[in-house]
Amino acid sequence: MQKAVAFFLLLIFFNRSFAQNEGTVRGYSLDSVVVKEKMRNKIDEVTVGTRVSLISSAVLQGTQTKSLAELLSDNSMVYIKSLGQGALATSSFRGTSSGHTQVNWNGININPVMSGSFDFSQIPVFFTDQVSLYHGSGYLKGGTGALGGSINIGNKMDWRDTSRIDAFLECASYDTYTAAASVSVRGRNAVCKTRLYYQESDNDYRYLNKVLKLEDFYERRKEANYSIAGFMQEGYLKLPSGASLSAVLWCQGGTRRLPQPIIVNVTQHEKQNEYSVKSFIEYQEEKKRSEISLKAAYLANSLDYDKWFDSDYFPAENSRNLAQSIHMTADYCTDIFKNVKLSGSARYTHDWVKAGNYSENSVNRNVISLQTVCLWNVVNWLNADLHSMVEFNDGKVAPTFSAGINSSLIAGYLDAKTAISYNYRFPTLNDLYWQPGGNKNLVPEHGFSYDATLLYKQRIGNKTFFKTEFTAYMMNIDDWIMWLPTMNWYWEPRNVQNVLSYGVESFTECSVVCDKFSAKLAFNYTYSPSVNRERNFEEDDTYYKQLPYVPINKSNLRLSINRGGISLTYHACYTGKRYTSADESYSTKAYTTHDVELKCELVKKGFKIAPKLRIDNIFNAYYESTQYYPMPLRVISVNIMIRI
Amino acid sequence: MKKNLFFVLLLLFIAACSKDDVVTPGQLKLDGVSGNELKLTSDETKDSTVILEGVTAKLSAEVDYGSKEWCEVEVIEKSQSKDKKNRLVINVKAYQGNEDRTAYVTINSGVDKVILSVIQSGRGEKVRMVVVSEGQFTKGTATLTSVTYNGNAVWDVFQDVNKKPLGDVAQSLTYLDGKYFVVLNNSKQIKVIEPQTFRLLGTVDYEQAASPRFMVPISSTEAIVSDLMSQLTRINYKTYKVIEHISLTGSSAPSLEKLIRVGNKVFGACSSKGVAVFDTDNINPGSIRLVSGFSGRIITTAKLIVDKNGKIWAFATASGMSVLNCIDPATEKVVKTIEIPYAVSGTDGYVEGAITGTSGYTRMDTDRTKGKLYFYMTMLVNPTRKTSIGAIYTLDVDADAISLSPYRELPGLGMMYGMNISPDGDVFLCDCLDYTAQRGFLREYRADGNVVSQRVGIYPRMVHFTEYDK
Repeated sequence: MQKAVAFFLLLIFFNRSFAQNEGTVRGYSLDSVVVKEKMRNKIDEVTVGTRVSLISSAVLQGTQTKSLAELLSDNSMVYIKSLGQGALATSSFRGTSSGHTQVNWNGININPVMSGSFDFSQIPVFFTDQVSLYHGSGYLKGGTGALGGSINIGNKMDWRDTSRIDAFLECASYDTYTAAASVSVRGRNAVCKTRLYYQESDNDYRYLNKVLKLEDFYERRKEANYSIAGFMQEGYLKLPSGASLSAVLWCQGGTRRLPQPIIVNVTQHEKQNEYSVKSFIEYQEEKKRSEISLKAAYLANSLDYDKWFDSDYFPAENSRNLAQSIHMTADYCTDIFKNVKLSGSARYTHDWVKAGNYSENSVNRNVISLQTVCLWNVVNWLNADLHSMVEFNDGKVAPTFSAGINSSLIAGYLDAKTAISYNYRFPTLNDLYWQPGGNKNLVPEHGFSYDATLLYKQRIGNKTFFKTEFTAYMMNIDDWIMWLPTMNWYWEPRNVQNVLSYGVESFTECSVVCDKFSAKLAFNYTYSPSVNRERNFEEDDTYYKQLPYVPINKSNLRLSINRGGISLTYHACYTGKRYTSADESYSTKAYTTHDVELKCELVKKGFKIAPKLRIDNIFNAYYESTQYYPMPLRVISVNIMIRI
Repeated sequence: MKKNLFFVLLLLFIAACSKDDVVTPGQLKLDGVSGNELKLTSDETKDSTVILEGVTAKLSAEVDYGSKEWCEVEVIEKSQSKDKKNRLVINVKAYQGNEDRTAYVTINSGVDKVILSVIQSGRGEKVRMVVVSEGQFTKGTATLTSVTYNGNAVWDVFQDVNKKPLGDVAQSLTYLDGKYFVVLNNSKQIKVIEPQTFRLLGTVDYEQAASPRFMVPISSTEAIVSDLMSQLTRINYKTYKVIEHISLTGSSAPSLEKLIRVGNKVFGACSSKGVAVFDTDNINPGSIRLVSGFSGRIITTAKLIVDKNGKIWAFATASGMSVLNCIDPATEKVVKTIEIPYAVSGTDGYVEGAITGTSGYTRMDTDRTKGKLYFYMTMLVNPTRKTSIGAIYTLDVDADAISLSPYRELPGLGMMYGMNISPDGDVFLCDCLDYTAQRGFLREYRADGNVVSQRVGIYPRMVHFTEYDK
């Protein structure tokens, strides 16, 4: 703890002293500010010292048929642990577990209330207009829980756009077909947009099984087919008073088989049907010196699980779960002084769950949080803010805070920021109520997080831009919850470990833009040790060992070249060795995948057609994101997009 | 006379000229060995050189027929050696270990003959036991750990030899037909392994829903495997094929775990029912019976044991006590029960050393003599704080009560997940620590109070002693 505080103070000192030497700097332009401007909700959502990264719109456009899992795995520093294409995909953000990543949709926390772990395979990129990553635990807007970081996906209406229709079709290997369309209609003060999406796949790729039998043998992936269909309706209205009203309804359903690890003789069938409704309505009003926002959201998620066997020998098994949530938030922001902005926020969430596996027929949870933010523009090159929040989670009180500083050390070239935060993660409803095993004596996970970022930007001539960003972070998470077997034949969650996670993240981008030619090279690298920092007993061999399924090294590189409407993109992603047991006795191999994409855009009189050829895993590498769950080998996809 | 003198001189001349070539009996001397015995220890390979002094004639060396597989000899004549002495190079091969053995090497100079005994004391490197570790469910981290008589361990010997994982959730290892059959619960598979090398020989693959557990032979070709999914599976252990699945649904014993065969009957631990029995030549749900007179609730993790008298013992718990049930296999009735009451806080018996309970995962075993049962209980060490430690207690199968002083106390044990007794009565505990997914320990609790610990796989659950590989 002392080290951590010293680390933070050192960063502030470094930041300040450097800034004081640069007396001529002017203005600031940091990512967090950029993000704020782009978000529809203009209340400050994250401390100015927090590192924020955005997935570029070009990347989002190029991955419309992919899931959020594939998008993040290939283009961010988040490690996605996947059981295969279309199958469960969870995250590890800054060396934390899947439940420590908070996922927000238009500012609403959409982590499943039962398990807490978000399945990124179930979010088609097509339904997102913005994806931003808030690194560390400084994001409090969605309540407690974001110990590793937050991933915010948003829908955005560009009032400058005209009415239009976008549609695309894609055929890919292993009988994977995708169709999607969106229709935007714009009136003088209103815009509505409808999106439809459907994808299905047999997902039966062939691979060499080297682990199950005496002789290695080829087989096709069994029980991995899936389909997903979704619909989103957005409406945005400008009111005469200058206020705006927006409403979004997103319905999605999908069915998928649950594949088994290849170390198992498959003798059963498992299927999961998942249906979800996400919706919100928001009123926003901006006045000269203040801003108010009221939002109400309703979320529902139903999950039906079925297991059956080929013969009638054994009875089929099933379970039905339904989770619903209501969110209500009110935000108010005002400039109390010229350079001081104050905002307050109140949020109420009510969750209720009906689950066959719970100890009680119906489980409810009420969460109220009150938040204040004070942003101080100290001088024009220095900002500081303090977020404080108190959350009442079913009677338990959790006070948290985050604070940050950002500074433009050399105007237009070098920026620096640093942040500190303290956050909690309450046990999920599964942790508390699952039968058997649910443990009502669990205490929340909690810990400090510190990080510091340096951002350097350079324009070389008129056509070349260079940007590089380095972040160092450190966080402690105490009372880490793990599900462990018990002597009573079932598993039980317990507060077991105290974890130290630290590391470095870097992002470098270089782009060249000419009249008819543009090229961009982007490179991400993250180094993220995450270890159990306390011995639970003398012979504890997990002490200072890397947590399972947290790669120490991860990087990805993206090169895109565009000339005269033809673009070529090359993408490589490296994921380092991941230990699969707590004492580092077992691990799964590092892997690198390479993808290429060739796209052509033909535009004529407002009509655009863009055929695309994409080859994922071009070298046909066998790799496993989760041990013994093979990922698809080479995937060739042909796509055509039409815009009218 | 002159002729005779000439002849003698000629002989002397020839003898002088060929002095080195004359070999007389007793001249074949082996240097570097005493008593014509060469003692070696077992390694993967071992070169050992014996120097043969004073030998000038052509030599031959031959290993006795029965030892040629592991012992080879080669003669290097003095013309090829620096010191002009003949050398006999003995090359001994072994697996990871072997029983003590002797090869007889006959060295023959044509005139003289010596028999050299090559004694290989391999037992130290011979595998004494194999520890079966379950590994984490769905993670494929089941392991076999080989431990030699010297105490050397290879913690994941199957992976080392075969370059592939053992499988998902190992439940049991059974020696049958000269092979190890390792039953893998969640892989729905039985791996067949060569005991000497740990080489994978084949797999028995289930094609129907199953969760196989324990195995017992019922004939010279067939075995029965118990299952968590209310069935028995008949397999051919010669061809590694599943023959049939026999549903237990609707039978008097819907779920069987540990199995043991006595004559033409198989007895199985049946959760909440006691002990079930069926005939090896008539396995169907309708023919399964329950042993009558069973007392208590059977602990299915504890082995059923056949004692020196041919009786079967089963461990059970009842209210405030453990119960040992002794079953006559012929009559299928419980003939004797031994109650082990637990000391209760606040009573006179609640004193240091009192038995306070057992584990829901408790284990029971016997030794080579089969005259004694060993089982895991908890023993009070601090009545004030009400703290207990594990302890192994024993029962002489001919006695009517257990020995009240523990056979071994088990301090420092994290979480008992398996216990086995060596043929000599040594106590081995499988310690899965705090159940976090890390490699556990095999702990030997010695009579002198010392504890020898060895890291093995994740969640170690049983120890198989190779002495029983017969």
